[in-house]
Amino acid sequence: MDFLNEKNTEDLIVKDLQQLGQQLQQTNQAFKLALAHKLRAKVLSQFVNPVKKLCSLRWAWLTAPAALLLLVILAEAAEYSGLEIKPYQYLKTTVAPAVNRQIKITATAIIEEVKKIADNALKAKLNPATTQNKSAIQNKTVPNDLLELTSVNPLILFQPLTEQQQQILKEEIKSQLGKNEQMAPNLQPSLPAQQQDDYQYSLDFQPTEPLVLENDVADTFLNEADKLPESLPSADQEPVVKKLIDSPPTTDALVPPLTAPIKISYQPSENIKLEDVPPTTKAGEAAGTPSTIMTPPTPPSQPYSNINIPPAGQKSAGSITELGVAAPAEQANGQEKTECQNRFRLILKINDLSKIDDQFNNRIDGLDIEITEYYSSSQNLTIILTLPSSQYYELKKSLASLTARPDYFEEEIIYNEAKCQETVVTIYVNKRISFFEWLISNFR
Amino acid sequence: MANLELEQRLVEKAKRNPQDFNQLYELYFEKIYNFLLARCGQKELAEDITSQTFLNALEKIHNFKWRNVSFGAWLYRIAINNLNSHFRKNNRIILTEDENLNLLISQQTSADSAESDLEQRGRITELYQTIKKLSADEQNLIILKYFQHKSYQEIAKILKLSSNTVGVKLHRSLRKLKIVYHQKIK
Repeated sequence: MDFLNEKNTEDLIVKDLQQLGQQLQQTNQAFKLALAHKLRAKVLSQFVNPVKKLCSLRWAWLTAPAALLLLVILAEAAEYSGLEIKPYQYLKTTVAPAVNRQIKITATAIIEEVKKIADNALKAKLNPATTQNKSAIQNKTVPNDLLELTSVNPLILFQPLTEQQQQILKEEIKSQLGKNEQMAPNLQPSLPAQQQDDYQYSLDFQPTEPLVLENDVADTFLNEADKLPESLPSADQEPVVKKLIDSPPTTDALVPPLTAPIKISYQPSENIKLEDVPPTTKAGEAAGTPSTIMTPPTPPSQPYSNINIPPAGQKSAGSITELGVAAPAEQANGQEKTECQNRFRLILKINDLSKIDDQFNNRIDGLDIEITEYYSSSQNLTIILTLPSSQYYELKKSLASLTARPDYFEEEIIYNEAKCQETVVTIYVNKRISFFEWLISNFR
Repeated sequence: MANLELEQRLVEKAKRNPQDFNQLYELYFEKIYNFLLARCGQKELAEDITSQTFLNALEKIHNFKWRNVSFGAWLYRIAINNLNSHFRKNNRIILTEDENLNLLISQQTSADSAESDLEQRGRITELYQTIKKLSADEQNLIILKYFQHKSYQEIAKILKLSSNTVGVKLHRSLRKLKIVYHQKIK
């Protein structure tokens, strides 16, 4: 056991260790191959479809909506307590309604398309011949002598006019235009509404519908319109009939559309007197602000005798707007059958007016609503609007569906005479900014 | 240095396309398998841990960043961690390893050299049994140094130690081994 002295032992151990290491160097080819195969399979399984991978994240699908809901609740709570979170307000008042609107439009379009397809399918079942003809139209193999245009019900058959029929039609048009010439001094509004509609039809008809009015007929219309006598006012620049169209011909025209309300601006003539204007609102008087109330003029006893038609060639800047004024006046003459231009005073009750005031002042120009008065006191802001009932109810309906809607309305009729109402509407606004944003975006 | 550059290139390739991991596997399979075999002394266990090590490496290769540690060192660390966790789970119950290893050594020695004698085989087996009585860290040091022929720097990177510490610890481990081995021989 001499070799077990210290130095020898160390050398021996190291030697033995190295030998042991060599002996333990093993090659296990079978296992190596098996593991390589396993790794390859693992690599291949790693290439999963990203959609599948996304769907498999169940925790994300569960937690994300919950987190979103929580955030919305927090934001609402913050807003309720008076804290303004601008990005959230922007999302709520601008993005969300826009998306909603887009969805609604898309849904409506889809429904209409589906309905159309269903109708067509039904029609095809009922009348296979029509379908064949339709497909022929699509293929531009329409026979010249017969053209069918299908509407929902009933089926309208258009045929080209014969020579004789064309002649009769031309004469009729001439005679109508001749009548128009005679009536020119007394001006257009005396034409019955139905007749105006006829003119509108004929003018709208000519350039766009060559299929319906065959060949010469459309040309005849155009030529006749061009050949209007010079005595007619502004006939060279603007056809009289066109003016008639611009003027509101029926009772419906009294109610301007919500999206584009008519701004009434007129030059008071001698016979349209301000004394006849109905009494102004009390709120305006109370505030002592200069009244800029624009009320529709009271109808004169002889509606059209005061209107001067400018001579031919002299373009009158106010001609159309005059007609615009004249039309309500005409309609107001028979008030029983018209809707009155009701007045609504919108009083907005707001807790803290100081922030609102500037904002509203800045943006008030953007509104297209006829604002007759606008003043504010310490606790409320009064905007007096002259809105027709229909527009007011549209406004009310929209406000009711609004997420940032006012807390509640109060309506009080303070004046009611001959169906003309003056109503004070008090709106209590809590979520003020959103409300104004909405008001401005909807009435721009 | 050239090896490190090659290794780095292979790692980048494997990161881009996991199918290229095969090249790294070819490079490191023998080393990892033999290290684990020496550490645990059981063929089946060594295979299991090797398999687990390479699968883990494949899964996590996109997280691997080439800083101070080479891919080899990273792979050794995974292997050591897997082995440690296996021992922890199985409460260090290794019953048949001695027999298993004795068989392995005897097969190897008889096949390799004709002049191997009974005394040498007995001494080597004794030595291995002595190594197995050391702590896990000491075993790692000795196996990496004398079986795998790693430098101090490489061992330091694998075991997250400084080179000096590796030197000191290895010296102590060897002295301990010598004492135990001497007592056994006596």
